[in-house]
Amino acid sequence: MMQKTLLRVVIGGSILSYGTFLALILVGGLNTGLAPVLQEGVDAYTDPVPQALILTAIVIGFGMTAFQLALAYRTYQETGTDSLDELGRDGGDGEDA
Amino acid sequence: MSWTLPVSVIVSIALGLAAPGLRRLFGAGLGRVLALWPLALFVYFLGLAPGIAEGEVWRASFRWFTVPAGWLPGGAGPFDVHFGFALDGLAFLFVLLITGVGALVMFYASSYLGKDENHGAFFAYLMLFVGAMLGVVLADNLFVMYLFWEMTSITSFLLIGFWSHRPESRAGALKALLVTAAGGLAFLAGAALILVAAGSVDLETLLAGGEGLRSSPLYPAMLVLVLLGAFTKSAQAPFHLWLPNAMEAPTPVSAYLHSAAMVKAGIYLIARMAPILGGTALWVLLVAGAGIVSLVLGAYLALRQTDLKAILAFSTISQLGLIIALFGWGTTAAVAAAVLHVLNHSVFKAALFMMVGIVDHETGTRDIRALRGLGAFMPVTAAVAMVAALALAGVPPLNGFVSKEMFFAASLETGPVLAGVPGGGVLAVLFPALAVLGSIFTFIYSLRISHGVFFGQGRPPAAAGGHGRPHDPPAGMWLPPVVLAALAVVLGVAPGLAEGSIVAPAARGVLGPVDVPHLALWHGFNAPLLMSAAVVALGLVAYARGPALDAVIGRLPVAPNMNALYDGFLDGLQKTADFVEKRLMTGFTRDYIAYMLGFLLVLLGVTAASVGPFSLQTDWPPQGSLEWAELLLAVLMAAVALSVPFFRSRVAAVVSMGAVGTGLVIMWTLFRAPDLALTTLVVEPVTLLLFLLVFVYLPRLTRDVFPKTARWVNVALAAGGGLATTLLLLGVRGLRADRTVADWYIENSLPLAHGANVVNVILVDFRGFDTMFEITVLALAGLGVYILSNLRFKGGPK
Repeated sequence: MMQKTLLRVVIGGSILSYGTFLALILVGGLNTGLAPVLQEGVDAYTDPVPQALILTAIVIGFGMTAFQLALAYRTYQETGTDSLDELGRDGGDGEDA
Repeated sequence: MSWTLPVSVIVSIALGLAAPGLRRLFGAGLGRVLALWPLALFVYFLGLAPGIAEGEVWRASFRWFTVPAGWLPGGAGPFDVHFGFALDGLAFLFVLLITGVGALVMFYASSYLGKDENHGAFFAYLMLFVGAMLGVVLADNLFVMYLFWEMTSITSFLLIGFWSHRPESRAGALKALLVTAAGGLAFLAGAALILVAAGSVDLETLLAGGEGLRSSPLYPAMLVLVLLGAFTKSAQAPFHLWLPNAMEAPTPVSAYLHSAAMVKAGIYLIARMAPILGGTALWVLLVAGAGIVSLVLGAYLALRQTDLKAILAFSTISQLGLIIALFGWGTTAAVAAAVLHVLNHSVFKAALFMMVGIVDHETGTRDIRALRGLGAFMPVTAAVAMVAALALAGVPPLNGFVSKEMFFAASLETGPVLAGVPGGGVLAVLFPALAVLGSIFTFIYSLRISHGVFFGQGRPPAAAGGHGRPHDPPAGMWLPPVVLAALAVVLGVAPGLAEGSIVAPAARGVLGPVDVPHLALWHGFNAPLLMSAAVVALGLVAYARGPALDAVIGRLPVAPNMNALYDGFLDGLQKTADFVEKRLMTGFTRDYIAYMLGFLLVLLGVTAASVGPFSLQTDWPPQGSLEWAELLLAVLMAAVALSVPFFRSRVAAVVSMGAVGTGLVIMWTLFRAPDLALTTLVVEPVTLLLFLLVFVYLPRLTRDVFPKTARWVNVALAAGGGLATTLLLLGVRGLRADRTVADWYIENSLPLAHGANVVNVILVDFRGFDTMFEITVLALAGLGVYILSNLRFKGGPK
């Protein structure tokens, strides 16, 4: 995400969110029971809460990635560059931001 | 009735807030109407004089807040801090000055300000200032006093910068604010130390426990901090730099702030603290030293000025120095002289400022080299000027003479006070000598601003605007200074009038119940009279030889002052802010990420260093079980993820990313998360597709070129961030031993929501609203994508 190419930043963001998913499931504890789908005669299930959180995160992450991609695409179409350095120079927002 | 104390403050502030609205009602007469309020207060408080003279103290107190136990170092507490007001003899004197001079100044300002000036704002600031000043002198604990103290700083900033279209006004106002507010913070710190040492900030309690405070190890620190507050407010050397610049204010403001109000707040603080912190060798050295230095330095600098208002500004520094020196000595005679001079100085200095305002108004100049022989055209103004200036010079039978005699007398009797002070023997001689020297300077500039301007030889200036001769102003402007000048005469001829009701109670407010020396114009032939005679004789000679004196002074160096330091400070602040802003606000997200990661690492490092490293969960196999297949998969995913930044080929980079995503699917299966596996399985190919779709329109990847150091900093930050996160996760893993929430969901899933898949039930049922908003986010993202891919900016390529 600290690179200068738009595409690399988007990919980086995606991979960062993968890491976040894993971190969430880790905090919940690994492999401590069966999948949280209720069955007769089973009372040890894994924690469903992190899974619910991650499910939400996956969907949001997908939305974000799609949006970023569209943004990158349009940015390149409009400005003819995918380098953040160039964009910063052209936009001039380095001074006024 | 003690409730009148808070009411007097609150109504003043309320009137200030209402002033802009009242402007519509009263127009340009607003000032005269508002002047009735301080006048009413003056009359009311004057009516309390008999009770005050007998030592009564009026109080009104409400609980404000509680300082909880353990909040202060040392574990003391809890304390109640009261929003308390009290009126004793000392406060009484200042209240009379604030309200009395305040009423006259408002009356005067009403005529002074042009019809098209913003009367509403001006009198709003002035009324707020009156309220704040009353709050300072009526406060019965240090925190309340500090609150109003800062309010005077802010309102005086607004008043000094009233003509905000002039850069000099703005600079002067800023300087006054920065210097006095910095001093105010010092005062607050001092008050906090007093709270720590004495366990209270109530003045009544502190007065009883002064002994303990003076022997506290914190005493030097608290004394210096409190005095910093007082000295900055009263413009004592070396903090006098703001006062000359504050002369950019409209003259009525100067007349008020620099005679009876703002600068007297510092005096009041010193007088208040004298019985609590005073009497030690350190007090005598600091207070009397700063006072006497300011007296001589201020008077000397006044001689170098040619602007009437500048002369008065330095004169104020000098006269306040005289009062502060008296409080530094602290003998009965000295304190009596000090409170009398507080009264006298307010009277004649306000009159002088008003006189200068008239001269400026009528002639359009304040330069004493251009102002000559005005007496013939402005007899009333000339009379005011002569009386007030001679009072300042200390000439009988005016009020300034009485207090100056007492000042000389006190300067000769400092022996007992200086007994325990290092170098006391020298100081005992030095003090009277410097007192006489400062008084000679004072005498000379007093004549310059009065006799020189009104009766000096030379061509009188034309009236402002160039039409005819200057003349006396309308009654609205000459009446207030005439009242003050008359008072200067009355208090000189019959000082006893103020003795029993005002001066003696005020002195007792500082000294406790003692006999205060009688005030009289004539004390017989004694040393002080001799000193006065010397001052008059030498002063007259020096004044008569004005040009020669100027030549001598011109060759002397300008006394060093702190202006260079102040300017350097402002400049440095500006440059630092510029530098930081340029560095921080680069406009590049990658820089912001770098700052955040870096800060996180520093934070973690500092925490680990201070509390020791947190324990890592390295038990193997960990809670639950971890199979070799899972571990292998994790290592593989990490390796692929790490390789992504190095790919030059876009397809390779995206496919690697997809590989990590697919690894997740397997991971979810192994970790008993079927829903996650299914979802990822759907989302991952779609994401991949999206990337590939966009590829067509994006250029090939090129190597991102970074400067070498930036590259290594980035690598270090990324590696450090990753490592820190890993360690953190190893630390917190399994900490979530509490499964209450999880078990609740598992138990209630079937009975409450009739669903066996707990994760699904959580999402669509228990946390249904969350999911709804999540869908909204997704919809918005979709909408954004749609707009972005279809919208064409005007003139852009299709």
